[in-house]
Amino acid sequence: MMARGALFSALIALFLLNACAVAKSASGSRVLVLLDKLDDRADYSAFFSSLSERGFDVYFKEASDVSAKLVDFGERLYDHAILFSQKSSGVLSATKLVEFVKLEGNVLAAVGRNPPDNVRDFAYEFNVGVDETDTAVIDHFNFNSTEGAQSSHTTILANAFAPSAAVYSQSTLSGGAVLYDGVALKFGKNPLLLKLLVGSATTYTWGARESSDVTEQPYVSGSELILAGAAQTRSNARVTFVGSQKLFSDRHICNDTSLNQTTSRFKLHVLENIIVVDSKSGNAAFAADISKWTFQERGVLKISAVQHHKEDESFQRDSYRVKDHIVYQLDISEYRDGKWRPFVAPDVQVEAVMIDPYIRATLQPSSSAKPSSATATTYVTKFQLPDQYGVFTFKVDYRRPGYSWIFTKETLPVQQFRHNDYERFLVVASPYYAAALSTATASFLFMIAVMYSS
Amino acid sequence: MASTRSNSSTSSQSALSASLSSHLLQALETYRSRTPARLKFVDAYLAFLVLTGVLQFVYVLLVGNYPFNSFLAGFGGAVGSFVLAASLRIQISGNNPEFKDVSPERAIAEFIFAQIVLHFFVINYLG
Repeated sequence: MMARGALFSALIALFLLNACAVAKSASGSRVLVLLDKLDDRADYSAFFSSLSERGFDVYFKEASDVSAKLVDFGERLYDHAILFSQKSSGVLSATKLVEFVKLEGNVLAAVGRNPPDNVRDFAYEFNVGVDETDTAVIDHFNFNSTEGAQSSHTTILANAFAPSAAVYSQSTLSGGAVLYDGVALKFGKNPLLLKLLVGSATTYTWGARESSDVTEQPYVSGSELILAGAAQTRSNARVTFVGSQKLFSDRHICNDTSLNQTTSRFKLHVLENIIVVDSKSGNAAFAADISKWTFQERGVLKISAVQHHKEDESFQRDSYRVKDHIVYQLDISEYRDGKWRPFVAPDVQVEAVMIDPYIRATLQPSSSAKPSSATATTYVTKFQLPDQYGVFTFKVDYRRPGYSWIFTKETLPVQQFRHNDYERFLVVASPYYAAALSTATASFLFMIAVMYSS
Repeated sequence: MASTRSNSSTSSQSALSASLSSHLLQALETYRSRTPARLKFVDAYLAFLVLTGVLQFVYVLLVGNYPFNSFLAGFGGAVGSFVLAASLRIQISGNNPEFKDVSPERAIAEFIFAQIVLHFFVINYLG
């Protein structure tokens, strides 16, 4: 009896311990970090400890380690991967990284001036181009002056964040600029790509070693120059590319308690008038936000409780009739900061499709309808089915940048009126009834008269 | 000049209408005196059917063609009955040589059969 009690309390303790360790991610807590040498993790200690604080189980592996596997026998061994290694690894080829993403693993890949081939190829799978080796992003107008005014201006200050509430918190958007020292990225035509941080009008990319003038069109420049960008696959796996792994380093992440003040602060030069902006870099907030977004801690949407019924009924039918008045409703919740919350948007639409969309109705967040739980917003709309019978699909396909794609559909038949569905004995038709009956009666009397009059 | 012309045209019009009305009166008088009572009875029935049909047509113009099937049944019943009764009248009047061989009894029997079939369809199509 005692033993059973002890076992029980131990189980409870284990459960509580487990609950505490659960990450705030909607998809999982296992993170694999790939580094050139295990010792390198000290350079990024602030970033990695913030991940541990958020409840992730962080595993470190050297990129050349043969046991560094993301997928084994078709199963993901980790939920997320961070690629910080700067040497090409034959162990984790682009193909293997793609396989991991296909299994809905999330990847945060950061490169430097010497991008490894596997990450370069991996980026190219998403139509993200990485500039050549030994080039750097340069901005002679927004640079970190603590590096020295005569420097090559390769540590730039970037604050052109994508205005996405799904990715960035308000404090990041209004906070300090990001210290960026790395290579330029360029997006191809891929509708699944999302710009997270882009260059300013004066940002360009050029050879870092040469001090020579720019003699031809740079690979990419201005706001087309991507500093950080992401791809969200159709299965909602997120892959984020950052052109500067130094962005995550302790040296660039502001950490008031443990870091040297001179390196964690920056000065902003604007032309010859030196405006000294002595403030913290936004690297910590930026790194936190994009890792939260990449690892499915925010901007994750979920549809639940999809329901439809006729306006004067409350139960869902397997089929409807043409011109029926339908009430369609569903719940949408957003995962943010460890909790499912109600998600309110004015632009969620439902479609009734039979090859073409016959109906496209905007769903209104409803205050009167009771959501399935306090963690969701109920959206309701009413529409009348068209005077067209056939197999219709009711679908909601909501794709907004930064948020996970949500999709639900249901196929059901819409039938025509049966012969006994029509209304009978209409008041409006009473003259016809009277006429038909009087004609019939008159005919009957006439028949009798004609028969017996001869 | 103009007044003369208008005078002459009025007089010719009045002369025309006078002759027309006199002809109509004559036709009516002939109809009244020469037509057998039996055919007059058929004509009264035909007039009733025309009236029923016209009233329904006016109603459909005023109210719209919903429900269309009821309109078709009612209107078709009137038109159909008219056609059958007119055919009966032709056969039993005795003035049409091509129906000399058809006895009035046979014409009446065919008429009754056709009427029953017609109204069967009318009633079924009405609702």
